[in-house]
Amino acid sequence: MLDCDIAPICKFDRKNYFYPDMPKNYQISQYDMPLCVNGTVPLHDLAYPKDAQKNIATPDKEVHLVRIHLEEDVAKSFHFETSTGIDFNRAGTPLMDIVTQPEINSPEEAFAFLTSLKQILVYGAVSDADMEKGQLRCDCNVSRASGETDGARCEDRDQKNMNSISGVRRALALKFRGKRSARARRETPTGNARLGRCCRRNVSDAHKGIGA
Amino acid sequence: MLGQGRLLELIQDPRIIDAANDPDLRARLKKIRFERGADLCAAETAMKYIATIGLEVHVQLKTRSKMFLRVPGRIWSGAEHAYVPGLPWFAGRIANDESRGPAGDRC
Repeated sequence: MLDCDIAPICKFDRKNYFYPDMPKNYQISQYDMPLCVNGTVPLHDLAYPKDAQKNIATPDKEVHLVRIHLEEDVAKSFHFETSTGIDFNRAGTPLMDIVTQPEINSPEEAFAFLTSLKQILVYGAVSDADMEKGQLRCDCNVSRASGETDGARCEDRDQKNMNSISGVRRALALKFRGKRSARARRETPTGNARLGRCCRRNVSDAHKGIGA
Repeated sequence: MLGQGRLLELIQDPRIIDAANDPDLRARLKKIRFERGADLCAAETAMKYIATIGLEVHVQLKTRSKMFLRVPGRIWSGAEHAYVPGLPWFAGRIANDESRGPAGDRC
């Protein structure tokens, strides 16, 4: 469906960390041998938001994927006024992580990517992908690389676990606006991540302690 | 003066005081869209940078059971399931899967 290369051998690793939504102290995940690599998601014109369909910068664009790996989902935290509740019903549910190449250039393209991907997953009966129920969540990384320094200077901002496609678009639009303001103030971009690493940071940094 | 940190001298300057009390100037300042101005100023700088977005999408799979347990995976069907991390035989009993025996024996 996504034109991926399925790995002949894949294995699961333990990602060791403690958090109240993962009280057994490790999450079973895949690190160096994911389920599949590469792949593409086509961005159809009708997947773009309606107000942007007449002004598509790159029609028939395809967003390339870095990898897809499986892991188990963690529990869900509910934060009350003075306490926090944890719902373990979704803990242990299989979760598929799809990591894209950093080649999406606008919030509208991100919207189109998520819409296309959701359609593929629902029609393929892979997932119900109901974002209101948290069955499809999205982390965004916005990076700014300088063309003069071969992309080495890169500002990296995360927005984690967003659960609506229009929310992703709004958040990215806000980030783009923030970046323009930062440029107007002539702020120097911080961070030294390279472009290819930006979107994979969540995966690589979280696997600091790999057990059996 | 601002650059030199002489703020006190600046606000005591009669020209500044006159300007602050000038209603015409105040009305003109209100009409200026500073945000738009900042965007225009940034346009030249923006050409030097490439903004890119990378996404990581988490998708819950539509499976009958959980990943490494036999408890039902349809977690949103309405019924709540007891999930006990580290006790797979107990979770197997809760899933009414007694016919296959405790899952812990077969792991």
